[in-house]
Amino acid sequence: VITEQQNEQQIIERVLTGQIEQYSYLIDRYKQGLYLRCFHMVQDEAAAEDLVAASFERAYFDLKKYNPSYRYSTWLYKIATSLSLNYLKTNKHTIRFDPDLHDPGLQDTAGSDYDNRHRYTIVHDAIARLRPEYQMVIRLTYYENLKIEQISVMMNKPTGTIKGWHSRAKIELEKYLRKEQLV
Amino acid sequence: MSNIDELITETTRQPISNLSHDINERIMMNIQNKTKKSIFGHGFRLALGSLVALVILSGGVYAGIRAFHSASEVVELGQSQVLPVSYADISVFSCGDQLDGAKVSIGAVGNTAIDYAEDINRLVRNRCELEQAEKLAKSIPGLESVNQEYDNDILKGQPEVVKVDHYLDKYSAEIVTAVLPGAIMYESKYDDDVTSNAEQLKNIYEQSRPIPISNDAIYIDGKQSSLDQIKVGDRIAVVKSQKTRYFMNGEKPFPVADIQESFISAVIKLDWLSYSNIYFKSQIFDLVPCLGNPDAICPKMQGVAFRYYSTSPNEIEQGNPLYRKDVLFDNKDFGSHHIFGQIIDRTDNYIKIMSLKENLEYTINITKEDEARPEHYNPVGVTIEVGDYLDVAYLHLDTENKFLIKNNDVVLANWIEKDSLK
Repeated sequence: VITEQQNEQQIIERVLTGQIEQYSYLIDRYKQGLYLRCFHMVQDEAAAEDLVAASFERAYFDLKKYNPSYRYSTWLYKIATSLSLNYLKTNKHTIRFDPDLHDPGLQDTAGSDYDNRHRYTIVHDAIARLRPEYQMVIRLTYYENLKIEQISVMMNKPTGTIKGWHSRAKIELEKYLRKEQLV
Repeated sequence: MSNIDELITETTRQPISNLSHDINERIMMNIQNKTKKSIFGHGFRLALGSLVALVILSGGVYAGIRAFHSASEVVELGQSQVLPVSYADISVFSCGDQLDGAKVSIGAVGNTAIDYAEDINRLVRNRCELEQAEKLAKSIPGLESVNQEYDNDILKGQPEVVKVDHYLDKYSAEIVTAVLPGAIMYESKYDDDVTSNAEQLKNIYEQSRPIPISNDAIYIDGKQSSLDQIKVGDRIAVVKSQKTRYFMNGEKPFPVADIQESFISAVIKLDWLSYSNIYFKSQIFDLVPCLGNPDAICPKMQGVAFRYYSTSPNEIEQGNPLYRKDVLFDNKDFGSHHIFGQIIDRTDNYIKIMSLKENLEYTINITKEDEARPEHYNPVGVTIEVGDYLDVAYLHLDTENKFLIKNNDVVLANWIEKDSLK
């Protein structure tokens, strides 16, 4: 019986011997999950798609460095995490402009829908104002439901560092959201 | 008031668009393009069908213009001829071989939307002209010899040297890559910069950005001449050469490219501009022996790719392509194959194709159910019909029936509609 991981290893070996077209299996298998992960990390659909493409390309050209005793997906997601962090570092956060939230008429009539969107926007902006490393930890924790140990693997940092970032990020968030009277 | 965990968790519920349906093609194309560049860097292997030529620079910077000023010369440059064979609606052309004897076989699919005899011929001729432009770029004097240091070291012709990390920084090479960006129209000429004696072409595909051309080495038919021979309004191909240094920097397993300078190395007048039109372009393709079926001929092309996907109700399974899971990679009888042919029969359970050249029947167990792929893989609701062409890449054991390609053997199926411009 061939396990999925063994099968994946066969594909990788074929790619390494020059059968580039085989790489599309790996793209198909992971692209959707990776896209969601990248989107959660950078909060921009176009950037997330670019990051998916860049991650697969990086993984392809570094395939010789891949250690088959680990899952390919873990390695691929680590690459995507690293690229996403670089993206956040080089792209300053942008505050979303939702025209409806600036429409006095809607504010009068929309009621709870308006409140929800308003709260949503403020929380997003609050996270986007954090240091890129803090953003990553918060998003991987809440959007991807990863544990501290898993984030530590993804970001290649000791668990102590991740715990510290997590706690400082929450303190900063709370300070900002308190100012906005959301907590 | 809410607590902070609840607030953040609320924001996770957000809609997200689907990935672009061509993301696979985009990634694979990027990889293939970058792979070609890296192979050029250390292996000197020219990919067939590529419009990029590789030459090695031994001396100083060379700049030259070759222009072909009379109609007859333009035609001869890319003269194409229809080979005596044609398969069903596919005609096979061959580019002229005036320069080095090499021929390129080109297939063209007939259709009812354009005048086949007239336009396809011009299209192929245009394609041949660009092919010849590439060869001209390679033949420019002074660029043929090899950098000796590079030639003698372990990098020569060995793409596998990417594994030799301990040779870092010891080996490097300077090469000149001639890039053929496609046909453009010669729109206007500038001569206000008299101090540098430079001529400039206006490239309509680069937001009218002038292209500086050195005027100190201009050739027409191999003889020194001048740019005056090309008139405003002519269709031309401008070959840009880039002097690039390749070196190993210790971080990448393949040589890194550092572009030193770029210049125009050739200007070639073309007869027709429409090869740049993607709809016309998709009608023709290079023909090469099929992988694993060397007696048959297959197209070398990209695009119009349709993979066959599982229709399992399981969401996770649904996006997975069908492929063989029963054969181990190290089985020496197991290999990649490729076949191309016209569809002669289509039922609920299989497609039959007649291969080109050898006229053999292949049965492919692609069912109609297989075609019910996730919507984003088939956004236009393509249906494959008798008369269309199918190009199938598949995995097969040598011991299995050569003419039966099972559903999960198929790696990739390229489909060409018979009358795609209709």
